[in-house]
Formats: sequence, structure tokens, C-alpha cells
Amino acid sequence: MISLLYRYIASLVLLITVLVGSLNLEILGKQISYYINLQLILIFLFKISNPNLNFGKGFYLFLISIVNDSLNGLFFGTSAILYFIVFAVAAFQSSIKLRSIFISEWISFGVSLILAYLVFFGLIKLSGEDVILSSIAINLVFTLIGYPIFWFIIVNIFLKNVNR
Amino acid sequence: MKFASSTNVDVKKNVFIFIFLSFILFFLDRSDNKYLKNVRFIINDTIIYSSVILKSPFNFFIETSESVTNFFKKNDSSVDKTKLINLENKVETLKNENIALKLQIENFKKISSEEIYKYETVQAKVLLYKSNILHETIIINKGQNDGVKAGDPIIKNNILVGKILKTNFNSSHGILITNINSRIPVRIGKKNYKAIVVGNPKSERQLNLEFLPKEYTFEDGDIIYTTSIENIMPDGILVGQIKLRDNKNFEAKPLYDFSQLDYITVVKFTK
Repeated sequence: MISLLYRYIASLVLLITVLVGSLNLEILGKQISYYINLQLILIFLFKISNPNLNFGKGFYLFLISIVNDSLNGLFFGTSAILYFIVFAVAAFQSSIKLRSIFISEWISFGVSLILAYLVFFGLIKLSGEDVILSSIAINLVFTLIGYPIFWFIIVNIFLKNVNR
Repeated sequence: MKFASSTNVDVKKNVFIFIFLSFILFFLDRSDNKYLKNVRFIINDTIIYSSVILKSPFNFFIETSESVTNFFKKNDSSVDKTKLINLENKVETLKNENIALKLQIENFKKISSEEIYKYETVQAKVLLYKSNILHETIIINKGQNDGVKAGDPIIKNNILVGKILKTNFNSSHGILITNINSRIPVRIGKKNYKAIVVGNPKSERQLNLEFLPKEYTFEDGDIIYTTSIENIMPDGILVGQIKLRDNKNFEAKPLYDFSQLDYITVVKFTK
């Protein structure tokens, strides 16, 4: 029952982060979403901590990405590509591991981020828009740094209660 | 790629299907197909208004916590702060209106033989404000059904704050002038130097001036205002001000504090 609930909670939490991302919670004049991509951290963490989780066979993930694109004024499909790249790397990582090793998971998250942002950069250039590279770099670094914090919250607190 | 178990083979297949589907969707959305546009407008409107409703409890929580914090703050002055802010805004509006009108009179004197544009305006509420790695966008509650078009200028207190980027049926996305993707043709100072204002990637409190003539000389406090080159923008809307650092170095600063965008005005730019 809890496992079933957990499957939906992951999608729900993800959807809430997309919606809450437009709240005026600012640090140094920029919204939190400027510094950190919470959705990518959550997708990776949820998948790595529960290999059976598949976000409704990917359908919920796709729907959430459409919501994100719509709110951010991006072309439909942009966020979905990012989400599925991170999801695929997380699925691969969870399939090759025998036990959870934080450092190797963190490194593979970094690799998935670099891959995702490279594709994102290409897509934005295709859209004919300019991108400030430093903004992407800031977001990438803070998202990578933020991973251990969310790993601690989700794996050590949330998952312990789910598996109990 | 290897996945955990045979039950996850479906997921593997789905990941590739969804990535493929996303690319198709991306290129379809880029194309200017009339029917696809209408579908996009409906999807966008639905998501935007649902998001506004869904995030209202969060907003209520933030606003309540802010008002509770303000209530317990020591307030020595007996003057109501909101009233004071409103009055300040009014003074600022009148001041800017005065400057804009003076500039317009000067320009009309110079170009009296040219055609004059008639502007209709529409008041709009800012539904959402997003500052992500790509742009600082606002989503407003007026769209194509209200006559708003992509490229229409967005003003607040008679100062240009941005322009409409994309429209839906009942909502629109706008980008601020501080964005690097926003390009506004402007005139500067008494000598009417022409340039293009773009956002400064290093600082959001500054603007960059591109395509300035080589032999330019600015005075401290020179006003930047829009120009109607190629009918991109209406003429004479205030944009910013020049602050001189020394003889040749200057800063172009926007005149409006973008953190206070709640209600804005869209100028329906029709000839």
C-alpha cells in the first residue's frame, strides 16, 4: 500500500515543485529555480532509491514536463528531454549497482546533468534564443551541490519510513 | 543500456519513445502551424490558470507569514506604509509622465510631418513571475482575445518594463527589458543617438546599448526612450537613464524596479 502510494507521491512531489517554482521565493533577487533545478534532483533520487519507480511508465513525467514548459514559456518537449535523460541515467545506475554507494551515484548524477544541460543548450540555440552560459553553470553547480542535501532528506528520512 | 529487471524493459522502451516524442513535439511547437498554435494556446491557458489556483494556498501562506512578521515589527512612524508607497508611486508616475510628454512634444515638433501612432492600452494582472536560467518572464492575464500581440510593449508607471513574447487566448508571456533576448530600439539624450537596448548578462540593474554611433557623447542623466524604427515599438516611452562614470564610460540603467510588478499596462501597438 505504502509502496503504491510512494509511486504516486514521487509524481505529486515533482508536480508541486514545478508549481511552487513560480512562487516569489527569492535569493539575491532571483527565484530559487534560477539557482537549483529541483526537478532533476528529485527524478534522479526517486529513481535511484526505488528502481521499480517509473512515473506511470514515464507518462506522468512527460505530463509534468509539459506543465513546466508551459509555465516557463519554453517550447513543448524541452523539459521532457531533460527529465528523461536524467531518468535514463538514474535507471542505468540503479541497474548496475549492487548496493548504494553515494559517491558513485553523485558522480553519475553529475554526468546526467552535464548531458541534460548540453542538450538543453542545443535546444535553446535551436529556438533562436541567447543563453547566458554563466547562468547555466551556476544552476548546474548548485544543483550538483544540492544533491547531497536532498539525498539525505529522501533516502535517510523519507525512504526509511516507506520501507518500514 | 542495461536496466534492473525484465519488468523494467518496458520503461526502457518508454524512455526512448518519450525522448523521441519530445523531440517531435519540440519541432512541431517551433513551427508556426495555425492549428497546432491553437492547441498550444488552450494547453497553456489551462496550465497557467490551474497553476494560479493551485499555488494560491502557498501564496496565502507566504503573504500571511509576511503580514504576521510585519505586525510584530516595531513601527515607529505613524504613517501607513502602504499609503506612503502608493503616494510615492503616484509621484513617480506623474514625474515620468511629465518627462515622457516633454520628450514627445519635442519629438513631435521635430517630426511633425511623420505619421502619428494611436495607442490603445489594456490593463493586465501579473499572474506569475519566473526567473529561470533562460529568462525573466512574467505571465499576464490578457491574451489574444484582448487584442494583445507578440512584441507589444509592457509599461508600468509610463516606463517600459518589457514586451510580449508569446500570446495564448487568455494569457501572455512577457520578457523584461533586462533580459538578454529583449531587443528594443531606442533614442538617447538630446542628440537622439539611436541604439538597441539589450539586457546586461552581468547585472540585471543595467542595460547594454548596442549599435551606438562611434562618435557619441552623453550627459549625465540623459534619458533613454523608445523609437519607432521599423514600427517595432511606439515612439517616446521611457526606458532608462544614462549615468556617467567618466568622460567616455557610462552606465545605462532601467528606470523601474522590476520587483514590484503586480499590475502592468500593455500598449496595443497598432498604426
